[in-house]
Amino acid sequence: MHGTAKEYDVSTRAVCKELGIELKEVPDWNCCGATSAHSLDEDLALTLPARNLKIIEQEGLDVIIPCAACFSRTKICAHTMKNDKDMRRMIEEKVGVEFKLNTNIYHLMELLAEKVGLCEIKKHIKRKLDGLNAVCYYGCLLVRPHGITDLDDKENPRFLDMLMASIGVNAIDWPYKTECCGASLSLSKGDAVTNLVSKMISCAEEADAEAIVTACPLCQANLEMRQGKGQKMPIFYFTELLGLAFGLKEVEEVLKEHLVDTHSVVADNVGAASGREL
Amino acid sequence: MNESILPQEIKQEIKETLKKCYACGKCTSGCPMAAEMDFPPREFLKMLALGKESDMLSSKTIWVCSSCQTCYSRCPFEINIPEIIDRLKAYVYKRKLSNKEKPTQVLHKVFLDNIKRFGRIHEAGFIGEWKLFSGKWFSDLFLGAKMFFKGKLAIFPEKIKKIEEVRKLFK
Amino acid sequence: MKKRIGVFLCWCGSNIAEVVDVDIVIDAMKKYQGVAHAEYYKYFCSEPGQEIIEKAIKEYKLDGVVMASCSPAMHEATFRKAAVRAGLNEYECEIANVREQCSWVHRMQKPEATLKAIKLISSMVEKLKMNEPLIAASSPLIKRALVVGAGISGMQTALDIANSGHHVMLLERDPAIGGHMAQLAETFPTLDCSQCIMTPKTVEVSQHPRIKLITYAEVESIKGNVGNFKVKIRLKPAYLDRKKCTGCGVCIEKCPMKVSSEFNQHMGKRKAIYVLSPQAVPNKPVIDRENCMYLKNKKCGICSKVCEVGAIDYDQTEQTIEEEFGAVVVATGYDLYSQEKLGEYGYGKYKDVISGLDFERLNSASGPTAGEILRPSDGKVPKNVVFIKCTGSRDPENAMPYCSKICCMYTAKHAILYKRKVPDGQAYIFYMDIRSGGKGYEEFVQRGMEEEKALYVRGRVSKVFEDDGKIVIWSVDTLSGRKIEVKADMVVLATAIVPRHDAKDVGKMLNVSTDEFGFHKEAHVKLRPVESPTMGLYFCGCGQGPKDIPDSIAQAGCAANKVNNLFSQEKLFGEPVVACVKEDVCTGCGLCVAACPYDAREIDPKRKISVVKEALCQGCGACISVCPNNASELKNMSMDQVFRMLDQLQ
Repeated sequence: MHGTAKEYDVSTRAVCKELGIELKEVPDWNCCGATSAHSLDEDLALTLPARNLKIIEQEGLDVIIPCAACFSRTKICAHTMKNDKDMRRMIEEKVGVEFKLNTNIYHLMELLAEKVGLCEIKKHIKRKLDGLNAVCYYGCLLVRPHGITDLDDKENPRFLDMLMASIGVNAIDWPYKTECCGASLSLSKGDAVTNLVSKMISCAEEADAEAIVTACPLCQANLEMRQGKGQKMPIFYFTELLGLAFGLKEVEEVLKEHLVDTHSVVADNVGAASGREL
Repeated sequence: MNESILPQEIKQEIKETLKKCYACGKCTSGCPMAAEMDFPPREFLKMLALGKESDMLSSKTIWVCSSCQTCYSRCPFEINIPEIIDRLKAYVYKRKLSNKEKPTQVLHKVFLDNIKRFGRIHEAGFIGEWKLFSGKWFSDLFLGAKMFFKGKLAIFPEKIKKIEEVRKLFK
Repeated sequence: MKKRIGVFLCWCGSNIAEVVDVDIVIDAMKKYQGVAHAEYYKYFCSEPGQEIIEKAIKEYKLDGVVMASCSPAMHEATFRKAAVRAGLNEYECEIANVREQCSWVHRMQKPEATLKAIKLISSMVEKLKMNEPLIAASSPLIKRALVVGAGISGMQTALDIANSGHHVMLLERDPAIGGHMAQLAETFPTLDCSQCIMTPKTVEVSQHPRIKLITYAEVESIKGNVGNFKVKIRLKPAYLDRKKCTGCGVCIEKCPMKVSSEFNQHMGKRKAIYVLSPQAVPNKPVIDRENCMYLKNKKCGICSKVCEVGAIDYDQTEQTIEEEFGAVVVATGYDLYSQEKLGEYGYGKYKDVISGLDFERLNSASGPTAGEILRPSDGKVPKNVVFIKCTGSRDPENAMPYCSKICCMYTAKHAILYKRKVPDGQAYIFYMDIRSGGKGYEEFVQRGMEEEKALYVRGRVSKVFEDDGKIVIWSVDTLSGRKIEVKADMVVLATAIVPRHDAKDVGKMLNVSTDEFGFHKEAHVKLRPVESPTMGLYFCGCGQGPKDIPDSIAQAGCAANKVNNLFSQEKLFGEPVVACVKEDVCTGCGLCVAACPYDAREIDPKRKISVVKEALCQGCGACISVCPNNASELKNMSMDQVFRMLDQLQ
C-alpha cells in the first residue's frame, strides 16, 4: 500500500475518515505471501497471515483488509485454524501464540456496503458521479474459495455495484465480474496476461464503460499495466470514486498517480475541476 | 495416485476426490490460462489419476495456473485442483527439480526471499532481482521507468521491526 | 411352552454357507434343549425347500419352526405359509436373520460369524418356546381411493382403479388437470403431440362415472389407516360457481388485468380470471385473488357484469370437506431445479437463457409464440441454439447429485424440433454422457445427429454470458482437448428434475416418507417400488423419482393394481401382533392412550383400566415403552420372552 497502491492507501484512509471509521494500521504487519507462498510452501502460506492475525488479536480490534489476495489468504488461515486442529497446533507453535480466533475479518468493500450501509454513505455525498458509466470488477479471490471468504454471491456479486450506484455511478452489469485477470502471473507471463486483460477491457468498452472499478491493488495494477495496444481504460479503486463523491481533496490529488490517464473521465463526468456541486 | 512418488504431499481426502472426476471438462471450460497449459486442468487431473505424477511435476500447467480457483468453485465434485497444483509446485521447489516455467518459479522464490529479508515486498528490489535471476532483463523496462517517475517504485526498502519473527516462520 | 421345535438353516446359495460353518451350527442346534430336529438346505425358499420344511413338521411332529435365513422382510411370508400348510399357526414360525445381520457383515470373521449365528438362532428358539398361535382381527374396508395429483400419472392411476369397478376421487391443486404433460409440445421418441395423446385421458377422467374430479383443492390432513382413512380436503375459492359457468370465456376476454402466465413459464400473459390453457379440463375459469382488482379493492367487477349466467361469486370462501377412503395414491409430480442458483449459467439474468420447459412452451402451438421458435429477448428466430445438459443434475457439490434421466432424450427431441422449424439453424448440444436406454431411444438420438445435424460436443459449460446481443458459451471439447467458445442466439438448459417444492411437508402430512431430496421413499426399492412403508399409501410418477411418460404410465398402472389388490378383499385383516394389557397390573394412568399414534388405546370407563382396539393397533410398541409398570405388552413379545432372548445373546 505504501508503494504501487499508493492511491488505494490514500483514498481508503480519506474515505474512512470521512465516514467516521477509525483506522489503525496493523503495527509491524508483514506480507501474507500471496500466491508465491501457497505455491511453494503450504505452511508459510498459513503462518505469514497468522502472524498478522496475532498482532491484530493483541490489539483487540476487528480488521479491514483492502486487498483481495490478503483477504482471501487471511480468511483461509482463520478458517483452517478453526477446522483443522493439527494445523492450528502447527501454526500456533510457529507463531508462538494461542489464537482466540474472535476477530472479525472484513474486506473493506464488505464493511462499507454491509456494516456502514448505503444510506450512511449517501449522507456524505457532496457531488454525485451521475455521468460516469463503469463496470465493477471483483476479481477471483474476493468470492473464492466460496464458503471461506463468505462474501456475496460466488457468480454474481453485487456489493461493489451497490456501492457505486449509491454515489450515482451507472454500474453496468458485465460478464467478467469474477473472471481472473492473471495478476499473479503478470510479471512472468506478461503476454498471456495481456491477452486476458485486453479481452476484458474490450468487453468493458463494448458495454460502454468509461472505467473499471476494482477493490484490489493487484487487480488494479495488473489491469492498468497489461492493457492491449491502443487501450486506455482508466482503472479506479472504488475508494477513489467514493472519495470524489465525498469531495475529498487528497483523493483528487492522488488520481494523477495513475498509469492510465484518469483526468478526462473525471473531468467529463465528475466535473472535479469545475465542481458540479450539489 | 502412486503413493510412492508423492508420499505426503497431497492430502488423502483430496486424492480421494480424484476418483470421483466425471471428466466433464468444466474446469478447462472456465480456466483463464488453459490455452497456455500443456495439460489443461481436465487432462492434468486425468494424468494424475492414471499415475503420471512425474510428468505432471515437469508440466508447464502447474506454473501457468493463476490460482484463481474458478475450476474449484464450479467443479461438480469440488475437486481442489489449485491445492493439488500448489502441492506439486512445492514438491518441485523443495527438491529443486527442473521445470519448463523457470521465470514463474523464480518469481515466487524471489517474492518469498523478499519477505524473509524485509517482512514486506520491496517492489523495485523484487522486480530487479527477479529480472536478474530469470533472465528477462529487458522486459517491461519502459513500464518500470514510468512507474518510477510516478513515485510508485520506492528505491529504499521498507523493513518491518520484528523481522526475526517473520524469519522464524521460514524455518 | 413348545417342546418340539425344528431349526432349518438355509445356505442361501453361498451367501450364508460361505461365511457361517453350517455343520457346526446344525450340530449345536441338534443338542439345544427343546429342539427336536435341525437340518440345512441350499435354498429353503425354493419349492423343494419348502416341501422339506412341511415334511419335517409332520414327520417329527414339530410344534414350532425357526428359519435361520435371510431378513424376515424377504421370506417371512413364504416360510410362514409353508408352516401353515403343514398345520401350524403362522406365528409358530420365526425367522433368525443370519444373512443381513450375520454372514454379510462378517465376511472376514468366519469363526465369530458361526458363533453369532448359533446365538441368533438360540435366541429365536427361546422366543418361539413361548409364542402363542395368533389370529388376526378383521376390520371394515372402504373401497374408495383418493388420488392426489392429476398429472399423467395421477390420471392413469385413477382411470385404472375406476375401470376395475372402484370409486376414485382425483384431486388437483391447479385449476385444471394434466400437470406438466399439458405444457409439453411434442413427446419423444415418436414426436406425437403431447396434448393430442393426453386429451382422451383428460376427457375420460372428467366424464368417468366412478371418478369424482376435484380441481383447485389440496389435502389438508389425513387420519386413520389402511382401509379407513379420513381425509380433510381444502377447496380453494374459484370465486365462480362452476355449476352455473358454461365456460363461454367472455369474462376472460373482458378482464382488464394482465398477469404473467405460470403455465407459459412466464413467457406470456394471462388474465386475473383465467383457465390454464385452451384445452383445460375442466374448462371453467378461476379468479386469481392476488391480482383481481375487485377482490383487492372492490374496483372493476367487469367479469361479474359480462357473465350471462351470473356465475361470478366474489363472496366465495375457502371450504373444507371430509371424505373417507380405503387407499391413497400420491402422484404429486415434480418441479424444475431453480436455475438461478447456478449463477454461471445466467438463468433469470439473460432473457435468452431458458429452461427445457420454457422451450416446450415456445414449441407448443398453444404457447406464447404459437409454436414458432422466437427468442424471448427480441422475438427473432435464433440461428444458433446451444443446449446444455446436466444443469443442476449430476452436480453433487453445487446442486443435485442424481441423473434426471429424461434430459438426454428431451434435449435430442428439442434439437430435432428446432431443426424442423428452423432448417438453416444449428443446434449445439453440450453433454457429459448420452443416456438413451429405452425402446427406440438410441435410434432417436442418432436421428438427431445424423438427419438433423445436431452437433454434440462432450464437455460441461463453465460460463454463459451476454455479449453484444449474443449469448457466449465457454466450454471445452474434452475429446479433442480444445477450449470452445460459441456465440449463440439462445441457450436452453436441461434443468434437473426435483420434487415439488413442498414435497417434504406434504409427505409428512400424508405419512409418506421421503428421501433426502423429497422424493417418495419406497417400502423396497426393487420389490415394492410403488408402496409406501405405511400400509394403504401408494405413489407413482415423478414424485417418486425422475421418469419419462412411458415409465410414469407403467408405474401408475402398478399403483392402481396395488389398490385393486387391496380392494379385492371383503374385510381387512390386520396385523395380529398387537398390544395387550395385563389387566391385573394396569392402573389406568392413561399414558398409553396419549402415546398411541393410531387411536387404538382407551380407558375402559367401568373397569378403569386401559384396553386395546385391536383393529386399529399397528403393533408399533409406543404404549409399551411409556407404560410405567409394564402392564402393556406386545403379543408374542412379552417381557419374559425378551429377557430369554437376551440371555442367549450374551
